[in-house]
Amino acid sequence: MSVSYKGIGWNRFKKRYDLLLTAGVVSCLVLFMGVTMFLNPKATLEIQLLRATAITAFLLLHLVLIIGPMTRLDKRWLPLLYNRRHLGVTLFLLALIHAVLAIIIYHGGADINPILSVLVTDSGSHMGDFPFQVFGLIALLILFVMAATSHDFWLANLTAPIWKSLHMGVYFAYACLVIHVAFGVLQTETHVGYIVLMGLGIGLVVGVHLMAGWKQWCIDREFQVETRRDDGFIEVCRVDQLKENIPHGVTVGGERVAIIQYEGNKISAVSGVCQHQNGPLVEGRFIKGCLTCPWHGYQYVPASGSSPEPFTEKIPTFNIRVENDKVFLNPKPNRAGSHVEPALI
Amino acid sequence: MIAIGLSLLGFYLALGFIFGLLFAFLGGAKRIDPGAVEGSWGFKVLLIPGCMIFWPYLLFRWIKSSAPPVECSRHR
Repeated sequence: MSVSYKGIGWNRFKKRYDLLLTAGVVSCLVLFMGVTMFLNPKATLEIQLLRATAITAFLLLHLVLIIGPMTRLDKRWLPLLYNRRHLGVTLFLLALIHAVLAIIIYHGGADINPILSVLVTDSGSHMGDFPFQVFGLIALLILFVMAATSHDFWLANLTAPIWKSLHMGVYFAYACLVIHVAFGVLQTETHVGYIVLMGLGIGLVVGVHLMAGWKQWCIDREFQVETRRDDGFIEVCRVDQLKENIPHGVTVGGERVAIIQYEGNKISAVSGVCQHQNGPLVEGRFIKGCLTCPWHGYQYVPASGSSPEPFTEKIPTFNIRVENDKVFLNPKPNRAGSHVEPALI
Repeated sequence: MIAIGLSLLGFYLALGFIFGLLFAFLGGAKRIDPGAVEGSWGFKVLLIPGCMIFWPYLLFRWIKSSAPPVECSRHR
């Protein structure tokens, strides 16, 4: 949360995160350059770096892709999600280095513009006729768009739904890169081990997404509530189902709502979706007077749906009441930031 | 045909880069987003790559001096 934008909102955790990321990337580069040198002693330094950046970037892309679903399956992955955009930017920079090296090595001597050469020929690649480099270029462009718009300024100015749709492009980029690798380097490096590793990577990405989707579907189905009373309110849960300071998620009309019991006897209901990146607020916690999103720590006062001063984020609130130890909610959301007196138990 | 498309893309991005410099450092960003009024130098530099892509949209909003759009979903 910030009042005015900064380049990077550094804190101790982010510094430690980036330090570990840098150490991991450097270790991978050194390791894979060493492996390339061992397997192919004639490889030049450029080729070693070309391959090392490719493998490191591809591994990092797998990590980026599985963090989201893994946080759904295991909360211990949340710290990785917190600063995922730095992973994404690092991934793009590695991919850019790989692309520049490939263009210099394989297309630098072409009679035409080297980038045009990538699009119209596979000169020097010795990988057959399939234009695998074009798929790499498409993926690079997608990663560029994502890295360039990773700052919160773009989230605010493109709006979260558009921003998220844009960043869903990472799955298309992944598909392009699978093609790029399968029809590129795997045509010359034919050892079955490489194909198995690639299959394991794809299986991991697809598998964790399916598992997380299944888990979410089960939760949504469990908390689906539809029985509406004459006054428009619907019963969403019993009071004894609520745990203090931990939101209880319900799905009303296909939308997630967070019902929170706090400060002993107060119950409020707000949108279960954070204004920042549409994070799962419903999976957050009540901390220091505010419902706090697990993704990036954005906070909202439960009764008003507003972030504490001086912050300006707002989410819709819902009218709520308690009768006979049952919690009833009006599914029509109030305007974002509207104060609603908490129901008392 | 591909060469022409590539040239046009290069021209578009180059224009976006120049626009990005003006937008970030000459007040465009703070005109359309109050959060950018006291934006740091690092923030302004980070804006430039995104401006290269979205510069027509930002130019339109800079001319109109329009505030950040309101998100349109059931949660807003």
